[in-house]
Amino acid sequence: MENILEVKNLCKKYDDFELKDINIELPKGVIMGFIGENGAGKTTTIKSILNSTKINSGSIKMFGMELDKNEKKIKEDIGVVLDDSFLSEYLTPNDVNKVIKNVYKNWDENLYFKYIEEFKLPKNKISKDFSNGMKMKLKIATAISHKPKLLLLDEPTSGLDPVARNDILDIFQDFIKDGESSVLVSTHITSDLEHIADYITFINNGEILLSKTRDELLEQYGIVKCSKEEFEKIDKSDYIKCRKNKYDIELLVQNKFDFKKKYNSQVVDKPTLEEIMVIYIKGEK
Amino acid sequence: MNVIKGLIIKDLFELKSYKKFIIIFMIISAISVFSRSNPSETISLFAVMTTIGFGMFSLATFSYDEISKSDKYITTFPLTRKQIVLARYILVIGATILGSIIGFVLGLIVSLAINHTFPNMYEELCIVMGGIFGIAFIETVQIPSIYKFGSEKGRMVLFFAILAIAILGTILFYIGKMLNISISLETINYVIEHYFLIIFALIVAVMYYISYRISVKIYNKKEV
Repeated sequence: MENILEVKNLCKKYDDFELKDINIELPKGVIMGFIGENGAGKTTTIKSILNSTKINSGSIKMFGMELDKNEKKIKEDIGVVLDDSFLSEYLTPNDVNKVIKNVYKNWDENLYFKYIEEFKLPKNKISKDFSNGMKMKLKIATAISHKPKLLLLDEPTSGLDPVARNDILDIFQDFIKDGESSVLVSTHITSDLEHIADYITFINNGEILLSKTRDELLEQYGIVKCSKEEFEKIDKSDYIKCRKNKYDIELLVQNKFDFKKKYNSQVVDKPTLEEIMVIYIKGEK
Repeated sequence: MNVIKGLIIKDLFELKSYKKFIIIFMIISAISVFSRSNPSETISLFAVMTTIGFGMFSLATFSYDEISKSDKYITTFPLTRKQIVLARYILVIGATILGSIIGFVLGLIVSLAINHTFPNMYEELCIVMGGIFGIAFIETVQIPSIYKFGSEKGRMVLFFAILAIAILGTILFYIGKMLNISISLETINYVIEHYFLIIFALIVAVMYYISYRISVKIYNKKEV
């Protein structure tokens, strides 16, 4: 499958934080969920992909082109939604159109206003008076109206109610329908991704811990709950991490079928992304 | 060029909320200037006030961008950082020139209506140029400072710049005194009468250019 985005061995050093050897491959026509706790490195990775921050080493390729040599050309085909940044809130959706139509060559005014109407946004009201959900919808309408091939979203659902979150997730699914466009969406609200993401990439403390298809992750990985005595009989190489609770021990296993076969009596539950994330971060080997 | 146009339009939309302030500012300026006893000063003084006013208003766009963290978003557009800085300078210089023209023309019309005499245009223009120089100094110091330190701390740099110039002026004065260098008043008057406009226009242009180059350098390195 052709990749829309390829990040190879990306490193970025700050005084108190470091992105270490980040590798991401995003194929065409898919949604990739980029998960991790706050401060794990999601935003820094997205900023690096957008060349908003200078990387120390590594390479970033989009649509088969090197970012550092084709930045302007590449950015014509990217739509960006940032949680905490947009044009001034004193602009109306009409004003936004007048600004952005000068920015992107492929800007489609009709498509933009189609989204504005679909999202029920008032055209002549300044966005300062919008709800959080409405503000996010305006950002998304702006990001997709120049028909980008890649949509990059940084925490688009944080601070939104479940209905608004659901609306927004539907937009992403519509966006990749043509099979040519992809979405990379960073979030710490993992439940949002369980139904829509095709791939999950998990970052922790500046390192990619895993990058797999959602099905592989949710269908093959498993959570085992056992007592202290049962835990002592389990080989360390048969689980990824364990988390000791007050009354039991939770194990994250990579292949629940193999585990069941080997330890006959154990019950292995289907994990949620949140459980995987928590055991990875809080657990121990 | 279209992208730069888009950024300037963005700034103008942001300044829409200043519309009422600008009108009130112009009315107050007009009242205070036109009520002066010496009517020949009215055109230039009004023009100086509008030039400084428009220049200061245009700098307010930095605060709007800082509040909405627009920089982070704007750097994702298909443009270079140099173009982002250029758009800002075009706006600020444009606002300064527009302020001086509006002030000068309005001042001239009102002055003619009241006094029925045509003023000495060269003298009036020299005063307006003095106003442009003043606001250009503020802008050219403030813009790179804001890019470097943000709006709040950027303003502080201006005070330090004024202080530095005052100290430098004093030092130069004493050096001149010690070395017995004296410039006669006639020489100064001659230069002012014949070359004031061109010298100051050149100084202002050089100031904007140096300031722009410094801002580009700062912004290229900045993490947004």
